[in-house]
Amino acid sequence: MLNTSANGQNELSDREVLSLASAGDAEAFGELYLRYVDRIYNYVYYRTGNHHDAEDLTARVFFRAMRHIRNYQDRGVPFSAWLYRIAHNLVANWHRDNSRRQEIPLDDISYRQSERQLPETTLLRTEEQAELLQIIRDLPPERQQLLILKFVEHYSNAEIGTIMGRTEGAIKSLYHRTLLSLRNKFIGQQGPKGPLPGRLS
Amino acid sequence: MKIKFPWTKPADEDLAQLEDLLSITLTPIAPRPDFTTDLQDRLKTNMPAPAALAAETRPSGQYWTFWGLMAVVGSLLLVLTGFRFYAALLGALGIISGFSGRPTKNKRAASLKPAA
Repeated sequence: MLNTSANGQNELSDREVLSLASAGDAEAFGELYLRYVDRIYNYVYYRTGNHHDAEDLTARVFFRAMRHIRNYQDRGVPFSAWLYRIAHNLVANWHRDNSRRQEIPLDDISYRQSERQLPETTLLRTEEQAELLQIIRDLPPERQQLLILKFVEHYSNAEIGTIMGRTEGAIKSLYHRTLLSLRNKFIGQQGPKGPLPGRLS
Repeated sequence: MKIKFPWTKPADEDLAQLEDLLSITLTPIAPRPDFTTDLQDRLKTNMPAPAALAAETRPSGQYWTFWGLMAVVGSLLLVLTGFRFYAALLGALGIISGFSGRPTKNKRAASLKPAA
């Protein structure tokens, strides 16, 4: 049984929980699951574009992790990197098996908006977001992963580097190239009178 | 929102606006609570026993078979073709793998391969 403090925070570190889970402790693996399920779900959701496949693949990620938990070797890389690696491989297989394109329903796009925004502005922004998501989905997998880790999970460049197996400098460079590529594709879709700059401000 | 300085280039403004749009587009989405609890229960019930986990991590014979086979083929090639041809072949293979492999200077992510 895992100890929890009075304020509900877990006392055990990932490493300690991992060692228990490796020994076959179901409670410990359950704890790891609770710590990472949201992050893995988000990653898979943005890579697949729909909740149904996101749920299916997230379940597969954790079942695979459970089967191979004994093989996990602590090489100074966080446990999340291992989980993201499994998720990345499963999503790659999923994309290979599903050559058909899938659209994200607009209802599913979560976006923050000011209550004072005019309906026209909101509609315009929703369209832009849908277009942007479509362009992101056309990016190479590693660039998609970088954007998801940066904007959804708010990881630093150094943390993303650890997860993706690259240096911090390489991540910075990749991020800049990804932004440039996104901008060019976005302007290309919108035409010369596109939203950048102007409509967004 | 980034501060717009008078010396900011238009291209940088574009990127800043794009980052703003990305930050409002790529937001965390919580999975269904039903899904989270159901999966947790399924994982708990399917957690292999410690003995089964240990058996699963026992080194597989596949690697030994592969390397044994490679050793036999290598020895046969050496005997049949002579040292010069063999060395040239190994050199060529080394050059090819050197050019086609991924850069090794960056640290790689955690491997899923079972420990040997």
